[in-house]
Amino acid sequence: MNQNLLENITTVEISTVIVDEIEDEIFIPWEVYQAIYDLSRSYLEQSTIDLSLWNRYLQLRRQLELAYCLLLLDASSSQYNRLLVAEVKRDLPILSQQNVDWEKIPTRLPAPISSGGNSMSKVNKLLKESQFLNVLQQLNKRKIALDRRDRILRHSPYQRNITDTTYAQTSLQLNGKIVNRYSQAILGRSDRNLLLQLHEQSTATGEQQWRGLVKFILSLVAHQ
Amino acid sequence: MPNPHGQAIFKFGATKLRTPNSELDAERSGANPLGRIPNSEFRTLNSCIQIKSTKISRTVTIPHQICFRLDAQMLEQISQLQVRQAKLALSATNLANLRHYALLNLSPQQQSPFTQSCLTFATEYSWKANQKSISLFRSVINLEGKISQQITQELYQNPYLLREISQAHYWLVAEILAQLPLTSKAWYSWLLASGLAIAMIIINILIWYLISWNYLPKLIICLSVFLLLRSVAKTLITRQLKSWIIYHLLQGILAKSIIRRKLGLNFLSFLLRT
Repeated sequence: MNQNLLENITTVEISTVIVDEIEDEIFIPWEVYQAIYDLSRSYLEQSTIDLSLWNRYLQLRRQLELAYCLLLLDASSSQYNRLLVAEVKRDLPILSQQNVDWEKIPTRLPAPISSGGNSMSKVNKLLKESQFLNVLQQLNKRKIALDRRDRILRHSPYQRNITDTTYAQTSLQLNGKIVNRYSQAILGRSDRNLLLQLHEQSTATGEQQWRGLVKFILSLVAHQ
Repeated sequence: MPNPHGQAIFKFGATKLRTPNSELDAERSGANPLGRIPNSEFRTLNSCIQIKSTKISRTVTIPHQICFRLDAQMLEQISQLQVRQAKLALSATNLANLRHYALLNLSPQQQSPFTQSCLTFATEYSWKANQKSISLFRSVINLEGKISQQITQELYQNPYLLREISQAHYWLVAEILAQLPLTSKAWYSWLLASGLAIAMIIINILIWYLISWNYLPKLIICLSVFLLLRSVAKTLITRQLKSWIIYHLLQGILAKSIIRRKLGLNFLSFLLRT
């Protein structure tokens, strides 16, 4: 699986974040699935989540739906459903866009908690798909960051506060392109240079760290 | 950062740099891994590297991050090693545990839904002795190429400590990652190759003297036996045995204790080089 994963990597992306607190992040797929599955506009309206983050939370839900729909179309996946192919293909362009249209599409994701046992076993089966688990994991990381950001915004809605949000990100692409992205909030800060220095160091070491990880994997698979 | 105590503690000449493996061999055999660097220094450093696990059910425990527990003295030691461009000699137990953690999270044969396809390294720091350490720095390195470096606000507000901790953290991560790949000592491979060669020669001699045919058929039989044994050994070793060991290191009989993990990982390293 990881061999295929390595073949698909086109970008190494290094982010630097100042966080309020480092908490243990334990990935329990069922809990994460349920938390993201529940996200909807009505759910957010009932919650105390800061309005500025609503769209970002909804994007997590959209990406979960998209990941499932891609599995439904994948003939090599256990989730493949020949009967739904035409229907899913029709909805795919809408799900791939970030506008609000996707919210009108009825969900195909199995409900994590329902009266019938069938849906739960579907979720169990879905959570055994490594491709889906990888997406879920990424979404979990983003949700944790959003949850932290929400806590910060509720306690100090200061515009230039960069805590718990990625303030700088560098993408090193296979075609040689290097893209740097910076949060607008750092531009007006007096400590801008220190933040940039910190990111520069994290980019240089991050790339080496990833290379170390790949070397370990290659030491396992190269001789198999 | 200049270190005021550096010269007083360690007065080294030009330290000869060694490869991580040669240092490890030396450290494991009880010798001094870096000439004049005391073993106790590496023992202290090794003791600060821990793997944090969480028990999520009666039977399932997930190792979720590698943790460096540092204090001012450790930072000083690391800074000295960096100045001398020395390498960290991981203890055999630490290396086995770290490889097991990496294998569990990144293995090509991973099956558990709790594996993360990323490695997490966190640095905890305690300001005073016997004080609870706090996580200040974390690197999450994902195999898909997503790397996140997280720094706490508390550390960011202390530029001196930020510099010290970030350098120590990055150095420890780099040293561990450099030693994770499975390698094998050359003499193992020579031993196996010699053993196989002797076995082949004995089998061929037996065939030569026990079968009373002409030279040409005997020669063909010997050659066929040689090729057959070679191909069977290769298939058994490269595919079946390696897969079996990786599987048992992840969740089978080799995952149960540190001694078994060490044994399994050493055997796997050995097979990967044959």
